[in-house]
Amino acid sequence: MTAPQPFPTHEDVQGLARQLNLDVAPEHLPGIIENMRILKQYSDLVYAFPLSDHCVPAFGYVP
Amino acid sequence: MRLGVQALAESVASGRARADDIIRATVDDLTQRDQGLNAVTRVLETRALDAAAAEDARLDEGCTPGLLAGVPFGVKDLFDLEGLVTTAGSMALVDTAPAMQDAAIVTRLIQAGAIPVATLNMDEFAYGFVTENAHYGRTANPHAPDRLAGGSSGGSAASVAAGLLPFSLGSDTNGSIRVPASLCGVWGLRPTYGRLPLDGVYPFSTSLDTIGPFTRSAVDLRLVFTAMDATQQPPDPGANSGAEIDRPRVARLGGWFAKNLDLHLEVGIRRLMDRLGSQDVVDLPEVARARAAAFLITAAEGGNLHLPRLRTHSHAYDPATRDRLLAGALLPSGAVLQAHRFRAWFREKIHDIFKTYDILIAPATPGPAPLQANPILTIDNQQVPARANLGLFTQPLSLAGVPVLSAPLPSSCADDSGNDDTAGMPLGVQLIAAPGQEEHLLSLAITLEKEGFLGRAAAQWPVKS
Repeated sequence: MTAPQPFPTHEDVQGLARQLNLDVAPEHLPGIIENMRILKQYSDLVYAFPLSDHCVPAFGYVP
Repeated sequence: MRLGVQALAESVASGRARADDIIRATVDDLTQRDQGLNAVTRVLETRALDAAAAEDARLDEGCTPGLLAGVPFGVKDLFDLEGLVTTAGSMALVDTAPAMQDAAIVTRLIQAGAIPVATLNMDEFAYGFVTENAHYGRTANPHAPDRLAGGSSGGSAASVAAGLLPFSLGSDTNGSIRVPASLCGVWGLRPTYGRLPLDGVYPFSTSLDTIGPFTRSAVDLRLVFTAMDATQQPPDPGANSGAEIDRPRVARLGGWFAKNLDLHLEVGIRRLMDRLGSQDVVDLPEVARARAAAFLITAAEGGNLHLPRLRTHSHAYDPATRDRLLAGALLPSGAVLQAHRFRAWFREKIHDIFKTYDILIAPATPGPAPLQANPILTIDNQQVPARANLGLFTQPLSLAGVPVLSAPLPSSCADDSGNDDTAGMPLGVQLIAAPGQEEHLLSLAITLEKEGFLGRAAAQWPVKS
């Protein structure tokens, strides 16, 4: 039994790109995957922090 | 132009110098001394000379001189200048229409008498900390041309550090003013998020983007910021204002901000804390997550911004920028929303700290400028690329939106007692205040500069072999 490939695979990227009607050139995939793996680590880190339901997104900012 | 902002403005205002002479000398200097530095992308000779003649004529008629009368400045190549294409450091925009008018902040500076003379190099679309641009080349560090200038406003920092310009403008999303200011040994200010107008500034990540100045002295930094802010009274040059705090409550940021530091930087910060009479250390919570949240927001907003062009013109981008933007465009929206929710939590925490302290102190970068040939940092015993990691200490603070001043430590802090090949290279610290309290930062910076605890001389450029 082989270990699952880490996210994202080439197929994962192409699937996500289709959601945006984006054609990704095959030669661009390795660089995109490398960056998506970095962002996945950051995403996991942020999701792992419990926030109150009343903590709303801080889009704007009034000094 | 070796003279600083204050000296130049005073000389023009008093009639001892003509704006025309200053601008001619600056244009000549930019043309001759930028070789090997590559800080400048365009010299605005005709426009600048016309503006200088108009300024001289205005003063000859007896008009009151502006705060920055006749002072030349350069802008990072993402500020609109009427009649020019704003490239944002990319070839992808070269076929877009020229700007119809100057950026709002440029207009404010012109109204104060300043004269734009050049556009300056940057990382493509401000996405990087190194100013290695695949289209416009690499900007060298004027203290050691084999080392990085930092970025993304590298041309802005290097041109001021080398004495080509008395001040310049940059933008700071995750540290793009503070990182190159630190590595090039100049002063930089990231104002409170939302304080200065961004009209006519090419965006990167709009919920983090700010703009600010670079100078060679704290006094000059306040002068330029006053003109940019357009809400303050002109300061008494060199004096502290009424907003000065007699005895600021100061603490050093510990934890994340006390690790991975160059020894000389550690010594410099301790010396600064001794002078400020404080050994207080506060830990800002969840800094790693704050940095992660800033990364996610930046990637997603940048990716979203560029997606339409990436569909059709991806070949026009630097491959490294393209791949980062495409990865950001594909980021699930949930991750970005979670980052923005975390941001709300994080802001509350830093605002709480400012109930106890007026100013916080932290390193700006982990150490001196890395070698261009080996752009690597050692973080937690791991080697990581400088391009993405020089913002280790700046990026979390961007998420909070607070004002941060980047100040150079005296060169004596980096003097070597061993065989360190980075001896004498610039090192920078961040002074951080509560939202809207830029004047607290500037007042303290001016005091510490006068006393010799902050500030250093301009680089000798070209470097003598």
